[in-house]
Amino acid sequence: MKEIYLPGDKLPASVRVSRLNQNAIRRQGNVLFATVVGSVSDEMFMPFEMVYIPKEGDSIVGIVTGRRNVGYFVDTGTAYEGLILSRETRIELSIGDIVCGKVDRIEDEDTIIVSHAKQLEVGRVLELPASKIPRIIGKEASMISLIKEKTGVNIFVGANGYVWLSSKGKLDKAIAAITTIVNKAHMEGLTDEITKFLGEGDVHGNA
Amino acid sequence: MFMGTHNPNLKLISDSGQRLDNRAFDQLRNIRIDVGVLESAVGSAYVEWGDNKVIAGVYGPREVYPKFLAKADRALVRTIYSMSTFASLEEHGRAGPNRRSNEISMVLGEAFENVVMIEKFPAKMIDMHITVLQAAAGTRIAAFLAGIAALIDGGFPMSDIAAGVSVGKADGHLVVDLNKEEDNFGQADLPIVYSSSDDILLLQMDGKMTREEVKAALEMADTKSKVVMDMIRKAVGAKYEGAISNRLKL
Repeated sequence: MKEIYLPGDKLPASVRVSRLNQNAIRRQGNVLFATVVGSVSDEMFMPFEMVYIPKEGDSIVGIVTGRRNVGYFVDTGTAYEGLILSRETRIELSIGDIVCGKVDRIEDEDTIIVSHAKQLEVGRVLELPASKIPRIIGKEASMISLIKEKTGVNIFVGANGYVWLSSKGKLDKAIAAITTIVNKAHMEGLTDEITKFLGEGDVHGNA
Repeated sequence: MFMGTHNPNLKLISDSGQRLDNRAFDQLRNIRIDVGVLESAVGSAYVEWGDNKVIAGVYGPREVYPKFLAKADRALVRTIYSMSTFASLEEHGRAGPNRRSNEISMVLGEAFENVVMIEKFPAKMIDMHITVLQAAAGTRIAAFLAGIAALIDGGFPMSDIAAGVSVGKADGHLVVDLNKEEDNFGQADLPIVYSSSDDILLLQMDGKMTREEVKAALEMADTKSKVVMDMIRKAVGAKYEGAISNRLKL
């Protein structure tokens, strides 16, 4: 069984810190330590569990909850409320609309200022653990591209754990694939399993 | 079950050196840890330690209420340790907040704040709810274990893991992990929590010990804490049974 690292465990010297896992690793001098439970593969430390800490540049998905003069407030499913500033965008939204955007900056320690906000058409929003999002995206977006291609569903993955799916295409199959990834993110052979599962049926969406 | 007043003839350690439950002086009671037991919690754990049964749920990071308590540069770890109404027949089994449970909440909370990387969550709160379902001596140590396991389960960044044991003195002998009779009628009780980087996060004492006994107790606790930390490792690993054994293919 592959070694599982706990918080405080020293990581192998070959591990590199990347943008996605910077909160999962702590540096002390020249030594790297895990801060959450996870494993190492291909010089990457992959957290199995991680609470979401917003970073500038993260793509997020949220639901509009209100509007004030300052802008639109967005629920992100985290302790950080999203805010689309009126002075930075011309977008017109209603309460309940699904939006995607980027984390531009954090203000007052609890508000995510959202830039590049776009409304997503009516569809489904899944609430998933943020720690599984990198696995859903896959190396160079290979996993999510595969799911989109094989099911014909348009998908936007938010780093905050909200994943939007369009209502067109084989929606149930896409959701099943994503659910499997969330449940088995730490297991080997997952890519093959998902490929096989999605491959059943032709590319035109016929079962 | 203990019925009444102390029998002065009660021997905690028999003439042949046996504890009442036949454990060796440095032997822990049976410990069982399960993580991820509560659907609604961010992290959770259930611990059985001897006859202790404790459940912990961790929530957050979330907004601080009331707002004026928020700290600009770090998170608060609010710990609520409580005993269920059926936890124990004895005096300190009274349910509801009381001085004892408030003190334990504070002491555990400060210990947790020293392992969670609270500077990553400015102006936020992490809520730890730890409830003792059944009490059998060493509840704060078992509660700490449940809390730590729940934090790991929840993916809260931590600088270390930690675990503890109580060391006590019964009939003049230093013993590890006091049972109920040893706790009630022994000469001293010293719960200690060590972190995985050898810091002490919790240290309390009732009773009377010599300096040499205290030093020896710290050593015994150090050894046994590492054993408990290994159990945390196995319990967390069990959640991911079927984890990758060679290359992860993304």
